[in-house]
Amino acid sequence: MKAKYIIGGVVIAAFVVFGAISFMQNNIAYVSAKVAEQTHRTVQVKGSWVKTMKTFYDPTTNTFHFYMVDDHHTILPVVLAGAKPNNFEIAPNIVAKGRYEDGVFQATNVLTKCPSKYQSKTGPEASTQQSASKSYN
Amino acid sequence: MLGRALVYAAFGGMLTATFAYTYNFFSGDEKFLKIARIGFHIGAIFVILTAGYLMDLVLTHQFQYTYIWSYSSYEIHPPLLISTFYVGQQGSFMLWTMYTAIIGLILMAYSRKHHYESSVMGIFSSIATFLILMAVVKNPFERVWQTWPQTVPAGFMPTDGRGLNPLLDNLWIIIHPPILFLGFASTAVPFAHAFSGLLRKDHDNWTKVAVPWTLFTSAVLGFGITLGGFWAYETLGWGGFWGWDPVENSSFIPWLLAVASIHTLLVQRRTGGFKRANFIMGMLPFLLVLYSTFLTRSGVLGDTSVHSFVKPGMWVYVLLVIFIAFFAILGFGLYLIRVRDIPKKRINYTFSSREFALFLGAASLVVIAGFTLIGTSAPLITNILKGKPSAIANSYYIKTNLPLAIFMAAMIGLGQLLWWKKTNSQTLLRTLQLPLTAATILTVIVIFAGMHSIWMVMFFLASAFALFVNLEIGYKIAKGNPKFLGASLAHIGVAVLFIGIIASTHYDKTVTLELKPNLPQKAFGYELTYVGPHPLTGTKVAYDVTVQSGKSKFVAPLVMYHSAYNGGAILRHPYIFSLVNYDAFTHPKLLGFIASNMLTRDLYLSPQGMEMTGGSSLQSSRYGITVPLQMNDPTNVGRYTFTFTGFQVPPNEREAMMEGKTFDLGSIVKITSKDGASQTIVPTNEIIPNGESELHTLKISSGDKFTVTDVHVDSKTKQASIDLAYMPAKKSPDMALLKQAEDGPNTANEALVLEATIKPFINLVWGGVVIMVIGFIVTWRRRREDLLRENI
Repeated sequence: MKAKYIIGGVVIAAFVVFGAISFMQNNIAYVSAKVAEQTHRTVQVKGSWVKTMKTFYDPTTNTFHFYMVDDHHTILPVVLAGAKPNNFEIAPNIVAKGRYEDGVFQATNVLTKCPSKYQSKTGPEASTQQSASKSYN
Repeated sequence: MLGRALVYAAFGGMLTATFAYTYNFFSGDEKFLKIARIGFHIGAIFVILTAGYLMDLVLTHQFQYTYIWSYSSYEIHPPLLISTFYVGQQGSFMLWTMYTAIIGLILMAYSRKHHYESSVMGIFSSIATFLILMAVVKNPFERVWQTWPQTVPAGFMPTDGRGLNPLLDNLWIIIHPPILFLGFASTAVPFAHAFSGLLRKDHDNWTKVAVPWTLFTSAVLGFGITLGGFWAYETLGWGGFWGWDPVENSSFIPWLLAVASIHTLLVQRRTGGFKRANFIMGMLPFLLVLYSTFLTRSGVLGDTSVHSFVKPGMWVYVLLVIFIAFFAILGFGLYLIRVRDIPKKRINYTFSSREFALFLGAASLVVIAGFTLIGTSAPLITNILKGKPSAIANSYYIKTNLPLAIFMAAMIGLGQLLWWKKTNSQTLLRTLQLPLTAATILTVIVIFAGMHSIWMVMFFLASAFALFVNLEIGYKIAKGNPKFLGASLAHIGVAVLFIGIIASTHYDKTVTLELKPNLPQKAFGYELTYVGPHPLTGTKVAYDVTVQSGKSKFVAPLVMYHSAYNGGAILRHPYIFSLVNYDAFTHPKLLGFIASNMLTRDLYLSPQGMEMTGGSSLQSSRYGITVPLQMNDPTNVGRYTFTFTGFQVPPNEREAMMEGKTFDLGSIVKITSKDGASQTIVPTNEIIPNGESELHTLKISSGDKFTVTDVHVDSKTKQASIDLAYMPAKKSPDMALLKQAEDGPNTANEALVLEATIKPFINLVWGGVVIMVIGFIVTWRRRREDLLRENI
């Protein structure tokens, strides 16, 4: 009976340690663009797309190049491995996940905030039907 | 105000039922049992009426209601219109509440028959009461002028609604949420039974009454989750069906626990063990549904997920916290009070018993649920530990869960071969032989076919072993009594699902193709040709690509469009050549084409965009490719990224410049090559006062040459820009680029860029789940019959 508890305890302890280590290793910190530029770890940067700056897709390398600005107004050039994400134009916020290398943020993934769940701030407008979608921004 | 009145009536009814049932349980006063039944009926009927009223508002386009305005419009017709009922938070809670009410009516008759009514229905009514409270706190019948009193005048009727997000404009929005929410709602039943067992000090019989419901939950929730995965695969175009997103995880965790409890309940049934653990296991799925709801509905995950979560307001947050705390404290509290009275039955099982294998299987399910729960809660945990919320990479889930899944697959196989109490090792070895040999042979074959990752080989071997064992046992059972086939079927389903996951997620291949009109390209043995666009309804455009294999070919319409709802964003939908392709209904030959070409692997075509190619974006001069550079704006051409950072005039030339004489102007350009090496070059131009300039070409060690061909300062913005000419070295791969640039824009062509992916054996994922769900249903029917026979 005692042996059972000891074995059980060791197994549980091993799982806890294994889980904790995996958790620490795979935890992707949210950092500012400035911090992202200084670290070699995989990080996430939250911000928004700089619509006025150059954005293009390079079909030969299947990379999408754009600039994002974080909450501290730091501009970060981003190269996403892949095409322009769905919802990119309308996402009020984006989250780029990747590493800073060679002067650009090499993103493996860019999350766009799915706007379906965003609520209108002003509600419907009186004028036209078009107003409904305008109240979004 | 009808809506609000209905909600209050429902609340009153359910609250009455809660107290009357509870009072009846403790006092035995029959009068209160009658009151409770009437109360529950009133509550349930008014919940249904509330939902019906909301549905009526949806169907008749009552846009003066904020909820209706937010998710619907005149453009949306049934059946899609019906789904706008539950796409928002209030509506989905309403759906959940309605299911709870309907299940409650069934449960009332059920628990009455099995003599558990007052204890089961008392706690169940309180759950329904809390759910209705959600509609009180977050009123689905709020008018637009109540929501936005500053901007919307009272009594205003919007001309149209905001409409449904086109991403949701899909057959699956009609099917997936109703099934998922039925699964969520049904978890309350095992919870109520476990709670009632504790109340009554009934340690065994409650499990027999509860187990059909646990099986029902497992079947419905498992099916619902998979439909969500299928929806993502079919619509979103990223090619996967599972992303470990909080929304997915939050339905996955309760499901894992429900499935684990099926196994621990079975052990109790056969041996009398696990009496204590099963009270906890019975309660956990529901508590985890509540916790998940809190995670995904309260706004705590903030911006750490793909899904955005509306901050629902403080009251919803507070109510959800109270909701979880109430039932967790009630359940665990009662457990702690009663735990000493629960007899501990010593079960003398050995390591080679089926009990032990079931325990290990259930334990691995619980640990998987635990790891997934911790990962999903990462933003909460890191917020507490570090003061800053951050999410966790998907690699965490794979790293922690994969070893457990391998272990579980091995147990799924081994457990079926073991006997209760003790297994004769000779018998075991004999029965082990055939499936183990078959699994090994199959594994060797797939290793030769290219499976090299040791983890995947182990996972495959364990899954194949599980498959063959259960096929063998299932065959024997089917010959005997097919009613007992449930477990074998469910396990076959899981093994098939595992094999499908291994094949489709680790051995898929993707290429990016740039298809110029009518120029075929080969990919994965298919010939793909972009033949041109054709308009669909609204702004939708289909870019037709023919897929040819042998002599037969089919057109894949790859849909991309600007969505007005989404502020003009481009939405793209993939086209999948798979067995589950409904175009086969309209194109009978398509099914044959898919069956002969895509039976074992889906061809997943995901459009990326229309691009100008053929040098259209590049120009050239005799100095090379022209690269226009704005100050501090990195520009990529060929193998370099160029950044123009400013001008430089040598000190001894400054005076000349000031005096307006000829001077050398250097343009500082940082060039970074693809391999990461970067250097700064300063090509100079001799500026001659008459407006001309002499260009100096700079050659770097790689042989590439650079010349600044134009210098320009915008008179208004003072923004400086230059044209840098880039002449690649003779052997440089960028010579092709120069050639394109020289050809000029005349040869420009629009090309369709698409990602073509083959997904091997992904049909096994869907097929496995279907088999598993059928297994649950078969076992469910068997347990129902057992229950009737045992007359509890």
